[in-house]
Amino acid sequence: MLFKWNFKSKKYKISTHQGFTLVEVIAAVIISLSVFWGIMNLYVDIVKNQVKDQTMADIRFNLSSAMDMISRDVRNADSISISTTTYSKKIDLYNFDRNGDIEELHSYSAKNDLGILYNDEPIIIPGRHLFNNEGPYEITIEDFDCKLALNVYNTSKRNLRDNFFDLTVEFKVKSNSDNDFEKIYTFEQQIFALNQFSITKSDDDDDESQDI
Amino acid sequence: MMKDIKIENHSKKFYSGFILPTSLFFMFASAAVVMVYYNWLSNQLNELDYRIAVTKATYNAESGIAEKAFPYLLQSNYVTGTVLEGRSLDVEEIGLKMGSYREVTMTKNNLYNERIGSAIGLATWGPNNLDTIFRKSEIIGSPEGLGKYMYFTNTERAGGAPMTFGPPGFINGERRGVKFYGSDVIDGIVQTNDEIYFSDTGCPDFSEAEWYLTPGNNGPANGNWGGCSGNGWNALFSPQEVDTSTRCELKWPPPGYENMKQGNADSQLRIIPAGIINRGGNGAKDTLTMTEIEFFNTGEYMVTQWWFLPPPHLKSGLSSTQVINPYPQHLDGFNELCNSTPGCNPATFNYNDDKAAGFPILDQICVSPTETGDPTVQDISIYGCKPYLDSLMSYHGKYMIPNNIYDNPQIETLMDPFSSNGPYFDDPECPPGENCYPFGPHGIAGQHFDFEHNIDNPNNPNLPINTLPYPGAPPYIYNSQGVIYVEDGPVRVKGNYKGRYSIVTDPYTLYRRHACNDSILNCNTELDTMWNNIWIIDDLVNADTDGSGNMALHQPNLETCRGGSNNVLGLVSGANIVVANTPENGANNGCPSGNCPYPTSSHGVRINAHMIALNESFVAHYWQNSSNSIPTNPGWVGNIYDPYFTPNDEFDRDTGFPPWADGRGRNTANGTGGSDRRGTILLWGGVCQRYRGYVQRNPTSQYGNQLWVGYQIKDYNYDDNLLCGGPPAYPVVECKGGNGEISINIVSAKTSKGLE
Repeated sequence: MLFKWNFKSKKYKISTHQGFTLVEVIAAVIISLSVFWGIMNLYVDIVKNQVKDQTMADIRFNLSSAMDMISRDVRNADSISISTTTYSKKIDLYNFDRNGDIEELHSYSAKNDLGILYNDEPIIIPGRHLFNNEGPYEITIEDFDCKLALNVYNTSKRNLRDNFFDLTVEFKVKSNSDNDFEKIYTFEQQIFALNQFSITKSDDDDDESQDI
Repeated sequence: MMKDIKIENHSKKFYSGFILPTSLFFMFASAAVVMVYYNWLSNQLNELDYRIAVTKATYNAESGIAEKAFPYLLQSNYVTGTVLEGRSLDVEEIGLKMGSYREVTMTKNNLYNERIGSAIGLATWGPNNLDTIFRKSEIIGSPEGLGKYMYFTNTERAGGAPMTFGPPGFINGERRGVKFYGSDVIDGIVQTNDEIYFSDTGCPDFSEAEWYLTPGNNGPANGNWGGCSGNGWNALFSPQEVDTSTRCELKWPPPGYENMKQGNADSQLRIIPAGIINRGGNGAKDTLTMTEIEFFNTGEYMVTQWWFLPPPHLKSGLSSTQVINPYPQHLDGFNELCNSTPGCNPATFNYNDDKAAGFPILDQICVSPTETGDPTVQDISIYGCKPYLDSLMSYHGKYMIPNNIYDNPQIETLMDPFSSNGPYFDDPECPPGENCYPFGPHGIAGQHFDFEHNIDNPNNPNLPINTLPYPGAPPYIYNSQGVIYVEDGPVRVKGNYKGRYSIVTDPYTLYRRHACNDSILNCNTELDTMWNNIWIIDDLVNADTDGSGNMALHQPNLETCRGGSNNVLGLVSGANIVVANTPENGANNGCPSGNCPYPTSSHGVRINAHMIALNESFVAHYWQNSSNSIPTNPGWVGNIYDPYFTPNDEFDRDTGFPPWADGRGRNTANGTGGSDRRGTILLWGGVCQRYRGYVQRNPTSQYGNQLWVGYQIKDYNYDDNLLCGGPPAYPVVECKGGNGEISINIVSAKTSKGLE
C-alpha cells in the first residue's frame, strides 16, 4: 500500500486529493476482499477445527465417562453376564441379596444412534446431546463389545480368566457439511471384575489334589 | 514534505474508518475464540483432574483396607469392632500428592459370620486443591470356619462315654481306637489330627468325600487298609476318583470358641444364665439349672429353665442344721429303702433310738463302722449309706472303698479304674500334672439330662414344679437370631429352627455336693463336676424341610452360594453333644429294624446342624439304656468291685449299671433284653469332636454284653449351606502352631462414593 501511494503521488502530484480512479478503487477493493477472505477463511477454519476438536473431546469425555461407569459397576458386581442384542453386546450386572435373590440388575449396551445405554436408556452424562445429530457432525456407535481378555495361554487360573474383560467402543464421526469427512475412533479399556473375582471360590486348591 | 505530511494525515483519516474496526473485530473475535478455547480447555483439565482425584481417592481407600483392615480380617482371635487411624499417602520426595485414607473401621456381622472392613480415601482437586473427593472402600470376609468339615477329630481315639478305655485290646487307661467300617458313608471334607483306622469288616464309602491328609499321615494308620485291602485308595473312593489333598493339622480347641461367648455391640449374642443358683455362705449347697431350648418354625425359640439337684442330695424340708450335718435318714432315697427294710418306718424312724439299739435298721441300709473294721466310730455316716453310694456310682461313676468310708471319706474311687479322672491334658486353666478339678471319669460322671422338673407334665401335675426361684423366671420366647450362650450349664435342644443360630456351652461347672456332712468333710469345696453337654432330646431340623430333616432339596450352588437355605444351626459344646435317650429319639429299643426315622416314624433322630464337641464327643446316650444283658467281657471279670452287698441286689451289674451304664433315667423302666436299638441318625451337617464318640455299641465291642445299643444306621450328609457363611460366630480353622492368621473367603469387595 505504501508503494502504491508513492507511485500515485509521483504521477498525480496536484490532483492527489481529488479522489481515486476506478481502477484504483477496484484494485483496492479486490485486494482488501482477498485479504479479508483469506483471514475469514483462516478464522472459519480455526473455528471449525475448534468445534471439531471440542466435539471430539466431548465424545471422548462422554465415552470415557460411560466406560468409567461401566468399569466401576463391573468392578462392584456380584455377577457379570454378557449377551448379544440386535445392536451390540449387552453387559448384565447382578447384585444379589443374602438369599441369593437378585437385589439389583443393571445393564449396559449401545445403539448406534443413541450412544451407550444404561438399562436401555441413554446414559445421562455430559455429551449425550452429541448423538442427536443436530450439530455439524453425525456421530454413531459402530461397535460396543465386551469379552474376556485372557485365555489359557495367558494364565492357568480360571478365576483370572473369568474376571478380566476387554471393553471396546468404536464410534464414527461424519461431517454433515463435508461428505469426505468420516472417521472411526476406537476406545479400549481393560476392566477387572474385582468383586466377582473376590467372591468366587479360588481354584488354587485344585493344585494340591493328588490322584493315586 | 508538507504535502506528504498532509497526504499522510489524509490517508490516516481515510483508513481510520476501515482498518480500526476490522482490526478490533478480529482482535475481539480472536480473543473470544482463544478465551472460549481456554475455557473449554480449563473445563477439560478440571474434568481430568476430577477423574484423577476420583481414582486417587479409590486407591487411597483400598490402601487403607490393605494396610489396616486386612490384618484384622485374618486374625484368628478377632473379637470385636475397632476404628483404626488413617494416614497420608503423599510422597514428599517426588512431590506426589496422593491424598490420604481415614476412618478405617472393622466391624463384625456374627449372624452371617462376616468381618467387615471399610476405609475412606480422600484426594483433593480443583484450583488450589480446595475440593476434596471421598471414596469408601469396603471388604467383607468370612473366616474359614470349622463348619467346612463333615468330619473332623482331634484324635481317632474313643471318647464321650463309659468303657472307652482299655483293657482289653488296649493297655490300662489307654483310650480305645475307633475304626471306619463297611457301613460308613461319608461325603464332604474328612480330616483328623490323628490317623484313620479301617476295620476289616468292609470298606467304607468315601466316594463323595475329600480326605484331607496331614503331613506325615499319608494314608491309613500303619498302612493297613482293612476291608479296603487290595486296591486301597481306589476301593475307598470307588466309583469316583481318589480325592485327597494335604493340609496342616488343626489347632484344637479351635480359635473363636471363647470369642463366641463374649458380648459386644456387633456380636448378636444372647446370654442365658444357667449356672449355680442359691450359692450362699458356709453350709449352703449348690442348686444347678437345666435349660431347654425349643425352636419353632416361626423364627422364634422358647427358653425354659428349671432347677435340679444332682444326686446324691438330701430330702427337701430339712432344717439348716440338718442340711449342714445330715444323718442317713436325711438322704433322698432313704424313705424308699426304709419302706422295704423290716422294722423301718420312715415316719417314725429315730436315729438316736436306732443307735441306742445298736443300729438294727441302719445296718441294713448303710455300711456300719464295724463292717469297715473301724469300731471306734460311733455314728453311721451318710457316706456309707446305699442312697449315697448308689448316686455316687450312677451319677459320678465312683464308689467308696469300705475302709475309706470312715477313715478317708474324701477318697472316692472310679468305677472304671482305667478311665481318666483328671483334667484334659491341655486345659489352659490346669497345668499338666496338677489335678485341678474334682472331675469324674470323662464320659459318665453326671451325664444326665432328665432330672425331674415336671414342667408341663399333664400326666403328673401333682409333682413339684422346679421353676427358678425368682420373679420373671423363664420361659421366655425370643425371636432374635445369633449366638445363644448357655452360660455355665447344660442345655437340652429340639425343634424346627428358622433363622441362623449357634448354641454354645461352657465345658463344665464345678459345684458343691448337696449330700455333704460339714462335720466330716469341708462342704465348701466343689466336690463335683457337671459336664455342660448339649442334649438333643428330639428332632432338631431346619424349618425349610417341613420337619423331614431332608436337606437334599435345599442345597446351594457352591460357586455362587445362591439358592439353598438361609437357616443354619451350629452346636458348640464345651463338653459332649449327646443324642439323648428319649422316646422321641428311639429309646426302649424303639427301632429294632434300623430304618427309622423314615418315613414317618417318631423314632430315630433327625439332626440338621453342624456340631462341635470340644472336650469329648458327639455320642449316643447309650450308657442310659433299657437292656438287661449281663456283661461278659473278660477284661472286666474280677475287676469290678462290689464291696457292699449280697448277690442279686441293686448293685449287681448288667448293662444298666455302672460302669457300663448309669442305670438311671426316666424312660428306662422296661427291660428290652439284649438290644436297645434306636434306629437311624439322619444328619445333614457335620461333626467335629475331640475324641470319636460311639453312636452304637455292638456285641463284639468291649462292652462285652451280647448287646446292641444305640443307632444302627448313620445317614450322614454334609450340608453345603455350611460353606456359605456357616453358623453365627463359628470357631475358625487355624493350623496347629500357626501364627494366629486364618483363611478368609471374600464375600464382597466394593467401592462407593463415601461421604459425598
